[in-house]
Amino acid sequence: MKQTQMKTFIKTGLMVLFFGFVYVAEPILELKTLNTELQEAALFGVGSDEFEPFKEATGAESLKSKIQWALYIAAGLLILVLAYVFDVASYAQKLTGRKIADANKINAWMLLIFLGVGMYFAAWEFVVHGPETKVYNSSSEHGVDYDNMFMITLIFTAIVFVATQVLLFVYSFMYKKSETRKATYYSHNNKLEVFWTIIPAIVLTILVLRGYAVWKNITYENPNSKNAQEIEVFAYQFGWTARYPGADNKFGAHSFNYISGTNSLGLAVESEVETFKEELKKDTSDYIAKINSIDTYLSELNAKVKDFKKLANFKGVEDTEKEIARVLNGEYKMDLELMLRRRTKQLERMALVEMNKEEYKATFNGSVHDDMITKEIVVLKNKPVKLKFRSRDIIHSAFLPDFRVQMNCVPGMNTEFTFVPTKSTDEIRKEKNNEEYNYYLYCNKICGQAHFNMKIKFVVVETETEYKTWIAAQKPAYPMQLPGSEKEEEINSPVENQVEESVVIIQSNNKKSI
Amino acid sequence: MSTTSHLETETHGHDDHHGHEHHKETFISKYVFSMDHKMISRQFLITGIIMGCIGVFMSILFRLQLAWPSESFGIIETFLGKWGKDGILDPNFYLALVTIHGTIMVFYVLTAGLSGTFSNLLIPLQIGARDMASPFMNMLSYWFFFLSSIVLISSFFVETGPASAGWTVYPPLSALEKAMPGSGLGMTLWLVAIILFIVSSLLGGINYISTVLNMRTKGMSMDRMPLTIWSFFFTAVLGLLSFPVLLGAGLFLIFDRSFGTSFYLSDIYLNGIGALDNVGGSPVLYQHLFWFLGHPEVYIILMPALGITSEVIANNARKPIFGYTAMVISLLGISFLSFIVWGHHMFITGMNPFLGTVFMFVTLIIAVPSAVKTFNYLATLWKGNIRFTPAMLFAIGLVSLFITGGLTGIYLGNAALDIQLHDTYFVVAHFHLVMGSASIFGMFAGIYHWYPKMFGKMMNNTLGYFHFWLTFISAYVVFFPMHFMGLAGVPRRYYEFTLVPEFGIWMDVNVVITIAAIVGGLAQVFFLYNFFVNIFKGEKATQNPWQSNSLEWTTPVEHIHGNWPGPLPVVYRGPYEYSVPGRELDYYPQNIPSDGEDDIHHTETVKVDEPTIETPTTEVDSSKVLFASFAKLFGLNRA
Ligand code: HEM
Ligand SMILES: [Cu+2]
Ligand SMILES: [Cu+2]
Repeated sequence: MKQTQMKTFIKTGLMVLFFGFVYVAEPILELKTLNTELQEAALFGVGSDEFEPFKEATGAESLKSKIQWALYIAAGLLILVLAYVFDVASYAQKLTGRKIADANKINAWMLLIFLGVGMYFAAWEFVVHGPETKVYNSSSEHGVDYDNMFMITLIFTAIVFVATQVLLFVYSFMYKKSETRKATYYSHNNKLEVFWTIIPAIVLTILVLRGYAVWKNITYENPNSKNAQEIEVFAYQFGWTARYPGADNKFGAHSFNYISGTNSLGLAVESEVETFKEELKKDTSDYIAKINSIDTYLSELNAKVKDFKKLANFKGVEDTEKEIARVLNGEYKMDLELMLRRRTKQLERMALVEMNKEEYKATFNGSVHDDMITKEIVVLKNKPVKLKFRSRDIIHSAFLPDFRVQMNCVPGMNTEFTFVPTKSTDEIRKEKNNEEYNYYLYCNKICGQAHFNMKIKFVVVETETEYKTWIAAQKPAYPMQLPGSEKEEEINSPVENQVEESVVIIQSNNKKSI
Repeated sequence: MSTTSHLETETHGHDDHHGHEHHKETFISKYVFSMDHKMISRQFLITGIIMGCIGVFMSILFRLQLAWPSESFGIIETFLGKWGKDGILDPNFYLALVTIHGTIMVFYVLTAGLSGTFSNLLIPLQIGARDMASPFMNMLSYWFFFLSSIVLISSFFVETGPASAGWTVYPPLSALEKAMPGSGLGMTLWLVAIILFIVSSLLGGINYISTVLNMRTKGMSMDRMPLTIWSFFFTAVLGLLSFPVLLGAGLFLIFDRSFGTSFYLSDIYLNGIGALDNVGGSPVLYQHLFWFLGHPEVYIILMPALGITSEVIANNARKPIFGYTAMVISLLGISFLSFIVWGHHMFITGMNPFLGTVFMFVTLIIAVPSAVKTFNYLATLWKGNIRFTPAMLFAIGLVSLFITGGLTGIYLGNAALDIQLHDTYFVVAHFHLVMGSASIFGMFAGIYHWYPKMFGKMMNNTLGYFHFWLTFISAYVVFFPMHFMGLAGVPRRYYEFTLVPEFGIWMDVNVVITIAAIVGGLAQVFFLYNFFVNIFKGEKATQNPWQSNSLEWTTPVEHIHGNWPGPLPVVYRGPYEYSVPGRELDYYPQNIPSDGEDDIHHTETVKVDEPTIETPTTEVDSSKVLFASFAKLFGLNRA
């Protein structure tokens, strides 16, 4: 019974794999025409240092993938053949009545081999990929403490890892079943158990105390928190903008109520807010008008359907009929009412600020007029910087791995991170021997389709003069307007531009044709 | 409790029509709406396996994208249609796949599929009960789970796609329909599915707890319960206390989504809509509520696997489990601590950093009981006489993966180190090893070990060995390199790594990982074949194929209602009396009286008088005192 089962399984498997193999065999024959380097990279990509992922031609790329498919199938074949051999052994055993392969012994040996090979590859990983991990290569002051903490933890865990894994596999091997021996009856030993409870407890206490010291200094007892240069980092789907406080070193107030097409950060700029209020009011009356004229809208739609039918525009007919259904089941009206409520509430909230004189003054105090909005973050080496995070829509996370910095950006909440960059962009470029290397701040909290593509350049300059030159080149986004002067030219909607940019990027990445 | 049995029905059942309490079994009442715990456990298992196949298949689809970004794969278009136009995975759908993969694996496979299966199978059998305390609730529990699975899968067929905000579904992303397509109807279905799931697991949990506390057979005092039962018991307690919080979190989210409340929303401006009118809520509140469940959840997943491992290791090493008391205390410690460590998922979410300190302290404490468990497993292997059944191999694999994945928890529990590691591939590596792979291995160990009990047939060992080795190797090859990627700052939930050229160095690693994932996925074919074919064609199981001590092996191979044809067995000793000195056989079943030497096949000869209490070692240790007081605490010691 067992025998036939195994055979059916193997036969079916072999058949499937054979056809698969034939299907992909063709590109393998073509492989001869490729140069050997590419073959190596394609087949055993791991070890090759000069492997350049972005420079391969697409033809080779797809070929490569076919080769890999062939590899899986080959692996599958190998497995099945092994299975067959394995079972032939047990078959022979049945026929001859002699033990040819003792599964228990084979497995015991396999465990031992697994331990050896596994440890080798773990070590290999540390040697090959360890250097890529940025440990001991951080570009910030607290990064050094971080790396030390990491190393201590690594040493401790590595010892425990090796010790326990070795014991696990070696015991399994040593005490494999033997007919001549009986297991030792040994059910507990309180002293031993206390011992191995206390040892981890002590080690963990050491780790936790150190971790506490590092964490405290990075966060709530950060010595630089008071004197750091402040920069506001603003996150939105899908991009970042930065705001510098300008000469007065004070950020102008902001509110999500003030966010508009021309005021993407929602800053308290009086003129902007006034025009925006007018827009909102107009929106409100538009919505009211629409709600009151649903009947006319419906007859318009009906007329449209007729027109489309005449033109044989079926897509048009379909869409319009969908819309009619929406109107008829009340969804259309509900949506309008929701929008109306949103606008009215928003106006109410804005009015509340105006009614309270104190608050109004504090909000529109003019410190916004020298604020600068930039599309990259530039900071000075060795000078503490405090990034203050805001989010427009959903949670994002500002992640600067080179600096060991990460903090979530939460709508309706202020978060911040203070640190001291200690390596300028030029230095890191030299160190990495890569003229194009840049620091980036990227998003590390799932936020939608272009999450993987949401970054802003982070530049650390070497000298004060460089920094000053850069700052001088930035223009305030909403300069104080002299009465009668024309409005500044459009420099101030970086957000909208970037949104479009990232969408374009996604599309090109997808090689999508619309 | 009804003791209606097969035997009765067969002998004189077919000619009565009505008027008797026992009803005739129809196909529906036997296989579909069954109230028999053994059938329900099979239902949980098979549903879990099917969900598992779906989850693994999804992971392979998105792994293709990660290894060969924007490469065209026919298979993607075939399966995903408009989401995989020209064979290229849509970025939104990448997130949908990741989300549903995570949800299925965590809840459907490893919560219901693992704990649901084995709690149902083993609790009555190992404590000597005829069925669960409430067979009807037990049946409901399965059907809520089934319904929940259907709802979740159906979300693939809605126009805007299934939920895509990650398995943690953080609002505002998950709350705002306009934030991503997956937050539309798909998200609603996700929430409905999870609520049904919570109902299912509460119904199950209440049942498990009351069965363990009230229905132990004579002599089965709490300190004689197998560790499997202890682990299912603590798991059920954890679930009972934490799932309602998720229910609350989910309901608030539903309110925010559909009824205009602002539990989690404040100060939001959405492209294309403008400022929303929600003010005063906090997205961080959701995270607190979610992780209050979320952390216990990882132990809900892991503890049954650890319990199964204890049983399988002791049985196959032919040794008593080392430090039974310590094992129970560490389960207790883990259960308690797991309720106060949730904040370690939130160090950098804007939570007050001082709170972070507190959570860091308690989190690292939880490593101590975990370490104790590991050492005890090692001590159990020491000087054993180990039999490498596939179940035993999977149990050893579990210990290995648990060590590897557990150690990286020490990094993540450290608030300072988490700054860099949070939400990177380091986390993906960590939880896949310690929670994902380890628990899956526990589940496989359980399946190979109790298959003869579940289906009355044997599985093929050779196929089992191939399954184990391929799965074990590929688990390490897939997840070990991810640690290094994470350390270099490679974020998780990224559709592709073209953001910065720096990530380029990981492209080849991604290829290796994907190949290993595919091999690992294919290895499951060995298992599926072995599992499903042997239900029909396997060799018939013997009464006690693993020479085990515990009570489940004293029931007949053919399932009957009420489990034991005669009176319930009486228990005379703990479950781990293997290789007792002076005994010829290397095991000593729980139900054999001390004088009635060696006759294992005579369950009927069990004496019903008071069991003599046995202390094999002279030390009467503190453990007895502990259990006595524990039992007193519940007022429920029936021994
Ligand atoms: C074939 C085996 C598996 C492979 C190759 C695999 C692969 C992955 C990968 C690469 C991710 C991260 C994707 C991303 O963040 O962009 C992921 C996410 C996840 N996986 Fe798996 N996985 C496997 C099995 C499992 C198992 C057994 C579990 C059980 C706990 C599991 C649970 C999860 C969870 C919870 C997530 C997080 C989902 C999220 O980010 O929302 N996976 N998987
Ligand atoms: Cu993001
Ligand atoms: Cu946790």
